[in-house]
Amino acid sequence: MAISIRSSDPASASRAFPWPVLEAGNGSYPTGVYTVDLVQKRPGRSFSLTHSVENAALVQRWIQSGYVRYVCAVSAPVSAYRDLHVSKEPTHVVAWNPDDLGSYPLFTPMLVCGQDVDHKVDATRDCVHPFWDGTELHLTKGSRLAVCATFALQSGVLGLLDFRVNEDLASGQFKVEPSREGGFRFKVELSEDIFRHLNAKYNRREPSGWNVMTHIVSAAFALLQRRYRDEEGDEGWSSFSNLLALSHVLEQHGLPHWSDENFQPERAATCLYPHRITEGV
Amino acid sequence: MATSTSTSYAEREEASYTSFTALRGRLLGEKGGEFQRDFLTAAKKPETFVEFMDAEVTVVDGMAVKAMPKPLTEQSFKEMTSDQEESAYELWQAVPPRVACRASFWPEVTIRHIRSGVIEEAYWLAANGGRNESGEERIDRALADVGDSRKRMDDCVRTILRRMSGLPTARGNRSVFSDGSFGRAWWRGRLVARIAARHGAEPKSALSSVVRTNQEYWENLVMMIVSRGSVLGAIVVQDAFINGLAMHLRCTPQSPLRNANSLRVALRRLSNLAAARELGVLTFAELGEVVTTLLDRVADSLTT
Repeated sequence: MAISIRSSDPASASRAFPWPVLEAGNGSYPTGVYTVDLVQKRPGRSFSLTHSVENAALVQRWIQSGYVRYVCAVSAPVSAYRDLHVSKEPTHVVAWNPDDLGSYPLFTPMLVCGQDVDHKVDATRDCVHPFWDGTELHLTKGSRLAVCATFALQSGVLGLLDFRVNEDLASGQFKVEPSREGGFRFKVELSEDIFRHLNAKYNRREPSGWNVMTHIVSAAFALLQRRYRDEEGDEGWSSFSNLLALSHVLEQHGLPHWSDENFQPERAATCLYPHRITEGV
Repeated sequence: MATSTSTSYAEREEASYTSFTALRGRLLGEKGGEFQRDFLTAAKKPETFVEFMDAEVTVVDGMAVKAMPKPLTEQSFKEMTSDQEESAYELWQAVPPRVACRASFWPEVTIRHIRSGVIEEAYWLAANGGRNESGEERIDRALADVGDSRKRMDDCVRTILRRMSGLPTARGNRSVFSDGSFGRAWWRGRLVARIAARHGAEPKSALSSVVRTNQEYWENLVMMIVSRGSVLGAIVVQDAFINGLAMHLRCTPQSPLRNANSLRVALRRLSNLAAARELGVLTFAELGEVVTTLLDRVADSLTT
C-alpha cells in the first residue's frame, strides 16, 4: 500500500513554517510528491515503511547529504502513547506493542532535519516556489521538511464497511457490494430507516442495531466467498492489504478462510460479532 | 483495538446494552430522574451498591487485580497520599496501558475494593473535593426533595462516576487519568516509574512531587499528554519536560512554576517550539537543555 501527498492536495494549511515544507496544502514545493510505501510485517504489530520524494530538489539534495532523518510517529493518544521511529535509511521497520495502545495506532510519516542546516534558497535549482527565492534558511535539528497524512490501520471487517442510503430499497432492506477503489471496501446500501437507526447514538450497541450489523458482516463474508474465493495474482484478494489483514483476523479466531471449503459466512460473522438477545424476551 | 495476546483483566462490559457505557448514558440521560434516585439510594450502603452495579453491568471475565491491603478512609480515597498512590501503582504495575486507559476497567477495581471492605462505604464515592460535607450527607441532601434537588442529584451521580472511572463523555479521555482515584494513582505512578527507570536523572521523590503538586497541576500535564497532536505527546518529550520541571523546582523552591497558571505558560511556550520542530528526535540530553532554557526564561519572566 502506498500513501502520497502533494502540496496541491486539499488541506487546512494553518501552520506557517519559516522554511519550505512538503505537505498537503503548503505551496512551497509546487510539484513535490512525498510517498510512503507500507509492507506488513507482523499483523497488528509492525510494518516496513519506505519513504520517497520526487520533484523537491532541496529535500532530495539534503537526503543525499545525510542531513535528513526518516521518521514515523506512532500514537494512541487515548493511552498517552506517542513514540517516534527514526532512521537514517529510507526503508525502516515500525513496530509497536499492542499492550501500550488503547486504540488503533495512528501513524504520521515525516522527514526531519537530523542536524542544524543553513541554506540560501535558489528557487529554480531547489524546485521551490519563487516566494522563497533568496531567503536564508536556518534549520535546527528536528525541523520538519516533509509531512505525510496521518493514517490508521484497521484490521476488523467493520472498518471496511461504507454505509449509504439507497432510496430505492424498501423499509428494512439492505445490500452489500464490493468496491475496489482505494483499497478493498464493502459498499453497504441501506434503506432509509435502517440507515437512520444505525446512525443514532448507541443504536449499534443495542441488540436491534447490533444484530443488523452482524447480518451485514455475514453478507460481506458471503460476498467474499462468492466472488473472491480464488487467488488471482495481482487482481486477487491478497493484492488488498486490508483483506490480507482481515484474513489474519479470521486466523486469530481459529476460523477458516473464505477460500476454504468449510467456510461459513454466518458462522464467521456470529463468532466475531455474536447476536445479542434481550433478556426476558 | 489492536490485537494483544497478553493477560486479560476483569473489567465491566464496555460496548453492549449491559455495559458500563450504557449505564453511564442512562444515568446522565435524565437529570434528577428516577434512575439517578435509585442509583444514589443504592450508593448509601456498600452491599446495595455492589448489587446495583452487578445487576446493571456485566463483568467481563479476566484476571482480577488485587485490592489494596490497607483500608482507606473517605478522605484518603478522595485524595490518596503519595505513599498510598505509590503502593497502589506497585500493586498494579503489571496492568498494561491499553487496560488502564479504559473507563470500564476502574469501576471493577473500585467495586472490588468495596466488596473487600477496603472502601468501607460506597457513599465515599460521592464525597466532593474541597468540601467538608461527607459523601453520605451529599447523597442525603440530594435525595431530600427540597430546592433544586434535580441538580444536586445529577451533581452527586457525576461525582460518583468521576471517582470510579472518570467521566470521558463529559470531560474527554483525560478524565480517566485525572478524576478517578485509582486511575489517577496508576497513571501518576507509571509516569514517575518510567522516567526514573529510563533516565534516572532526577530522584523519584522530585518527579513524584511534580505530578502530585495538586489536581489542577496534574490536569494541565495530562491535557498536554493525552490531547491529540499535543506537545507533550512524544514519550521522550514528556519525560524530558517532567524531569526538567522536577530539577527546576528542586533547585528553585520559590519558583513561580509551582503554580498551575505558570505551568500553562511554560507548556504554551513549548507548544510554540514544537509547532515547527519534531522535538521527539532530539536526545534526552538535548531536550534537557531546551527544557531548562525554556523553564528558566518563563520563571524569570513571571518573577520580574
